[in-house]
Amino acid sequence: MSNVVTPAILHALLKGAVLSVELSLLTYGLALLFGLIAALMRRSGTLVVRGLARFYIELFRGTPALVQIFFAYFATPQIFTWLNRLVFEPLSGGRVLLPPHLSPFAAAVLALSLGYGAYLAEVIRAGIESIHKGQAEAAASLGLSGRDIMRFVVIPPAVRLMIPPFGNYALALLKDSSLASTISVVELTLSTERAISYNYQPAMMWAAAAVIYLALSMVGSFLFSYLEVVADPLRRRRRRPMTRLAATDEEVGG
Amino acid sequence: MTAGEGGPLIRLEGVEKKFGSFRALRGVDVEVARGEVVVVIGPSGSGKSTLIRCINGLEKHDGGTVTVDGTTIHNTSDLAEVRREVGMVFQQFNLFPEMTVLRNVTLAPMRVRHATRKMAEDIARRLLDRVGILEQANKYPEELSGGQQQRVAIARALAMEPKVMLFDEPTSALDPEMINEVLDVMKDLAAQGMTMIVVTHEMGFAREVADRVLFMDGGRVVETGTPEHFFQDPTEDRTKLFLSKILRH
Repeated sequence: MSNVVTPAILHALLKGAVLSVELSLLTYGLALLFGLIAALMRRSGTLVVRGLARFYIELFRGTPALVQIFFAYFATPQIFTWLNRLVFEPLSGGRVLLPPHLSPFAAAVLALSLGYGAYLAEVIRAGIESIHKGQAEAAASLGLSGRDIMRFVVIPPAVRLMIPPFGNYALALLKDSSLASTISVVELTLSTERAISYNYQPAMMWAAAAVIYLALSMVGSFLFSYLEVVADPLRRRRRRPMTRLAATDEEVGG
Repeated sequence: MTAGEGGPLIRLEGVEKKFGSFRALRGVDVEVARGEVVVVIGPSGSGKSTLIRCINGLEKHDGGTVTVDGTTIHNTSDLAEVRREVGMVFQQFNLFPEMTVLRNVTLAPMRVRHATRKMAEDIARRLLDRVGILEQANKYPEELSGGQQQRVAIARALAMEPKVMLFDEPTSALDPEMINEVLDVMKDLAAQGMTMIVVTHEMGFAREVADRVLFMDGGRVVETGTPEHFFQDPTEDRTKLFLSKILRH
C-alpha cells in the first residue's frame, strides 16, 4: 500500500484541492460583481443599457461552460493579436498592450466568472423584484429618498431571499471548477488524473477526489445555511441567549 | 403663493388619472380643511384609492393640480416636501419585515428629519404607547397580529408629525375581531384634531367620526355632505343605490 499512496501523491491532491478552492472563491467573487452590474443594468431606464445586459446574460447562459473556457484560453491569443495590431499599437505608438495569451488559471477565472455572473444577475434581479411593491410605497410615503428606499427597505429582505440560490450556484461553481483541468490548470481533477498515471489506482483515486469535492461542498453548504439564519431576524434572535432577550424587553418597558 | 392658515389644507382641482385607456379619475375637485375628517366611500374601481394616492404622489396625476398646505406638486422636490407632511396607512400595512417595530417607526424620522436615535426612539415609544403596543417594540412585524401591525403602521406615519393622514382601506385586510382596535386609534386621532382622509367600507365609522362623506363612482365625486345628510337623505340616485346595497344587512 505504501507504494500506492505516497506522500508525494497526497501532497499533489492537497495542492490540487487548494487550487480548486482558490479558483472557485476568486471566480465567485468576480461573478457576484458581474452579476450585480448586469442586474443593475437590466433595471436601467435606458434601452441600450438594458439590451446589453440582456445580451450578456443570454449569451453566457446559452453556451456551455466548457466552450466558454476553451474560448477564453484558445481563442484569446488570436483575438489579442488582432486587437494589438488594429487598435492598441496605432493608438499607443507601437506598444503592444495585451499579453500574447492568458494563463490557464486566468482564462478559467475569466470564463467561469462571466458565465456564473450571468446566472447570479438573474438571482439578484429576481430577489429585488420579489420585494412587495407596498413596502417601497410605504417608505416613499414617509418621505424616504429613492436611495434610502433601496438601502433600508428593498435590499435587506431581497438579499435574504437571494441566499439559497446564491448557495446553489456556489456549489455548482465548485464542481464546474473541474472544467479548468481541460486547459491544464492543475486543480483537484487534473492532479488526480496525474496521480493515477503514477500509481495506476483509478478507483481509489477518483473516489478520493469525489470525497474531497463532497467535503468542500458540505463546508459551503453549511456556510450558506448559517448565512440564512444570520439574515433572518427572527431565527437570529432565537439563537440569542434568553437573558439578552429579557434585558431588551426591560429596556423598552422602562 | 402659499395658502394662509385659513385656506384648505388640501386642494385637488380637476385631477385626472389614466391607467392605459382606463380613466380612474375624471376631473376630481376636492377641498379638505384643517382638522376635517373626510370619509371616502364608493364601489370598487370608483377611484377612491387612486384619489388619495394622488395626494402624496404614489400615483402621478395626468391633469389638474394637487396642492397640499400651499405646495402644488410640480416636480420631485415639491413631492418630497408634500410627502413629509402627509402620512399614509395602507390596507396591507406594508411594515418593513427586516426591522423591529421600534425601527419601523424610527427609520423615517432619522433618515428624513435627521433626528438623533435617542430623539426618534423617544417619539416612537410615545406613539407606540398611544396606539397601545409599546410592549411589542422589540418584536418583528410577522410576530404581531394584523390589528397590531396596522397600529404600528399608524404610529410609523405619525412619527413624521404629518399635517394630514391618509387611510387606504385600513381595516379591509383585518380579521373582524381586530377591526375595532384600529378604528379606535383612528377615532382617537380624529378627536385630537388630525386632518384625515379615510377610504373605508366601515359605515359605522363614517357615521360616527366623519365631518363629511364623499361618495365616488366611475372616477367622479358624485355626492358629498355631512354623514346625516348622506345616510338619511342622499340626493343622487347612484348614492341611494350604493347605500341600499351595503346597508341591507
